[in-house]
Amino acid sequence: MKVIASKILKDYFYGLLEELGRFFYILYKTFLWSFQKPFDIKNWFKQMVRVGVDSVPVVFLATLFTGAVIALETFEGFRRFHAESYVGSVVSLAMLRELSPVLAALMVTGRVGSAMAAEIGTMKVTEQIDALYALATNPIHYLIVPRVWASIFMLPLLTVLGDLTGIAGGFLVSVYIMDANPVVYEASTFQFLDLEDFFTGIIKAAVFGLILSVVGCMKGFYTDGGAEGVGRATTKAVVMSSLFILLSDFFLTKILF
Amino acid sequence: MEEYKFDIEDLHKSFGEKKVLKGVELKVEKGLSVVIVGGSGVGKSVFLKTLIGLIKPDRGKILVEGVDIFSLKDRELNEFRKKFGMCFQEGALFDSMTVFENIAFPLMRHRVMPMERIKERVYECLEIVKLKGVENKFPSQLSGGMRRRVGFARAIALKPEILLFDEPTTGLDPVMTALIAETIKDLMVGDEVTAITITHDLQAASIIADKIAMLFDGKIIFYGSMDDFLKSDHPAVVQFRTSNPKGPWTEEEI
Repeated sequence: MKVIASKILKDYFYGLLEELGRFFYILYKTFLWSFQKPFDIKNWFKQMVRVGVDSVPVVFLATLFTGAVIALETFEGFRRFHAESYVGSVVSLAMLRELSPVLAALMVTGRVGSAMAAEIGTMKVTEQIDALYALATNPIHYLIVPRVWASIFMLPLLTVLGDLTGIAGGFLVSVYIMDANPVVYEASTFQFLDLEDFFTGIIKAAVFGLILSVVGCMKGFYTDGGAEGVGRATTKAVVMSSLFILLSDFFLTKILF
Repeated sequence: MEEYKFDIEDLHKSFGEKKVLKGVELKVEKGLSVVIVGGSGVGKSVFLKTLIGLIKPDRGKILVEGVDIFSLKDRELNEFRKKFGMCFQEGALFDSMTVFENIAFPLMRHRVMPMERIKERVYECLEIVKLKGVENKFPSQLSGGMRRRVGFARAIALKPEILLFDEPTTGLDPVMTALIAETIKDLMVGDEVTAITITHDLQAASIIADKIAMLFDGKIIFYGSMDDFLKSDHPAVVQFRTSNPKGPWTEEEI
């Protein structure tokens, strides 16, 4: 029993090391290939549209309702000790520093990170990756570099959108459902807000963009075992990216403040 | 000294416990079409992929025009691959692109010519592989034989000096097999192009091959002309030629 347990632990540990090794290998190669010609601008824009523009509706809805629910919850709680006027501050601080980047990243992971793994994974199992190599085109250069940079650029923009819609969600609930005074609420929203809070969220979002795209591409790139392998890669990409995002969120917050 | 396009020395490759290549030695002269035959799962595809650096061998050397391809850095190998055109078993076409975009891909990627010239070259390549009116179709709309020929067209777009074909006729009917084999022969016009084809189809091999090699038990056990192949009395060659279920091929499995 002890032997089996130690074997399972050993395998798990080696598996984890392997994943980390692959992650940093792809990250390193992506960085190196980022500065090589040709620069495929068209492909970069295409990826930016897929990561950014196409994700606008989901990020919009997720942050709008999250802002709304925070206002709903805190309003109820704060009313108990007559602190309703601080609801705006709580919503804006929570959205800017924490929820908007994390929600945007998780939404994009589910929508785009999984698609990256599936797309590149399918190309891998149908020899299209080999075909790229054979056509003197490095697949990291052609497939991964544009996806990673598009995610790094677009996640902060989605976060800005999330900040705005989150605050708007909180405002709508507080003013129209909980009958808060709109002028007081608006003043409270910006009362304790610093530019630093805004930039914390933006930096986090860029790091999350890097994580979700590198993990998605890596999982696709190392896919094996046909259609089943593609399915596995897609699921693992979402799970691993989400975990990495949440873990790194803690450490980033600790480092940034 | 004779000029060799490929000089392969003592090539070994294992996957886990399974030894696939056990010391392959082969020298291919420039301008020849060499066919490598062998049974399924004998490591033909692995061998072909090592030639272009897609799989790294455990031991041994591959010299292409005297250059050891595994001593090259990532970027140098990438550049070096422009000399190669590789045709994959099922075509390995980019399924999100049309036939035209597939063939134009290497031309646009490496920016070798202006757009009008690229267009001309794509149609020229399609003509060489005897395809017409398919340029706007997606790979999923084509038959197996057509997909492979589009794969050929894409591989020759950059006018490579070396062509590699991975099982080009597997799963096709005899007429299509002959057509594909003839197409490969057509691509060999002039003595500049060197081709290596792997197949287990003797009918196709007899059309394509200037020389034929046989991969058996991880080694090249025969390399010579088609006539010599047909006369060879090596037990593995005889079994392959006569499609005999009993012999050295099947001994290991039984």
